[in-house]
Amino acid sequence: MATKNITQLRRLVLRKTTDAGTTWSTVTIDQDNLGQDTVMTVNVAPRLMSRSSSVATTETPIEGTFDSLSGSITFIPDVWRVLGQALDRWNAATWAGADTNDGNIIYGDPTNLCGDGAYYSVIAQGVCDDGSAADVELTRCFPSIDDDIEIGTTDAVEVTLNLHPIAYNATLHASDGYPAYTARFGVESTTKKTRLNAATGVYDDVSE
Amino acid sequence: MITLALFNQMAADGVANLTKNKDFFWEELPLQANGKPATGVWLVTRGGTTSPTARPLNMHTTVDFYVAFPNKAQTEVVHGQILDYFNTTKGYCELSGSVSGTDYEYDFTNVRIHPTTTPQNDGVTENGVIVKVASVELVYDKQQL
Repeated sequence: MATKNITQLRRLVLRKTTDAGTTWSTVTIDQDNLGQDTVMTVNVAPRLMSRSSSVATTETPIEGTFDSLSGSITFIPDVWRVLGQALDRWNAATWAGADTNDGNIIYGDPTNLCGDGAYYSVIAQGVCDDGSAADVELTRCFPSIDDDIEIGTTDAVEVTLNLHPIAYNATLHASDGYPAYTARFGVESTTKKTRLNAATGVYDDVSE
Repeated sequence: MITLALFNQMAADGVANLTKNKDFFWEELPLQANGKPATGVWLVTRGGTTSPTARPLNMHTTVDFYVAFPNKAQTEVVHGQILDYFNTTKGYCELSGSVSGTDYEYDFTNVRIHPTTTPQNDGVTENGVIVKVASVELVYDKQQL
C-alpha cells in the first residue's frame, strides 16, 4: 500500500528541548491550519566549487556544505494562539474563564530582546505514513515571520514562517539533545521503524 | 471509479444519514416507479488534470454533490452535513473495494479532499423539487491492480 506519499504532509510539529533531549515541548500545526497549496519549502543546496580548464568550466557540489540552507512553512493561523505558539512567543491569558485562544504575542518588549535562545526542531509528518518515511526534519531552527501578515476581509490570514535553520556543527551542538545532522528526509532510524509522537516530541518504536 | 470509492466510503460512514440506493446515488438520480425522479443526493464526476508524466499520481477529480429534497431546508441541512464531514475528514489514506464481488476493483491512496464551492441552486426536477449543487475536489493516487 503506497501510503508514504510525501505530498500529503498535513501535520507540522515544532519541538524544543531544554534538557538535552530528555523531554520535549511541542507545538503541532495540524490539518485545520494548513492551506491547500505549498506547506513546506526546504532548500539544502550545497556550495559549488567551480573548476575551469581549457576544455570546460564545471561546478561540483562540496559535500557537507550548504549554499543557502533555508526552510519555511506556510499555514493559516486563524487565531493568534497558533502563530504565537509556533513562534514560542505566546503569553496565555490567565483570567478566570479564559479559553485557550485568549492570550497575546508581544513584539518590541525590551526585556526580551534575546529570547531564550533555544531552537526548534521542525518536523513535517505524512498523515498516511504509519512510520516516518515521509518525514522532513530541519533540526535547529529559529522561526520568525519575515513577510507581511495580511489581514483582510476576504481570504484567510495565511502566514509564512521562515524557519531560519542552522547547520549542524559538532563542536557546538553535539550535546544539545537534538539530532546530529542538519536536515533529514525520510525515516528517523534506518534500523528500526519509528514514528514521531506529536504530543511528546519523541520518536516511538512502531511494531509491525 | 474515484467517485464510486468516495460514494461507498460516505455511505459506510453514514454521512447525513444517507442510505445507498435509497436516497444516495452514484452518477445518476434514478426514476421511481411513477416515472418521476427520486429525491436525495447524487454524486456526479467532473474530470480534472492528471499527471503530465501520465503516472497515476496526484490525479484531480471534481465531484459535484447534487442534493434535492422536497423540503428546501432539508436540502440545505444535508449540504451542511456533507461539508461538515469533509471539514472533519480531510482525506483518506486508502479507498479500496470492488463492485459485483471482485469484478470491478479499485484502490486509491492518499486521497485529499478540498471542498471548492458552496451550494448553488441548479433548478428543479420534474417533481418540482429544487436541486442544489456543491463541489469538492479530490487529489489522489491510483494503485495498479
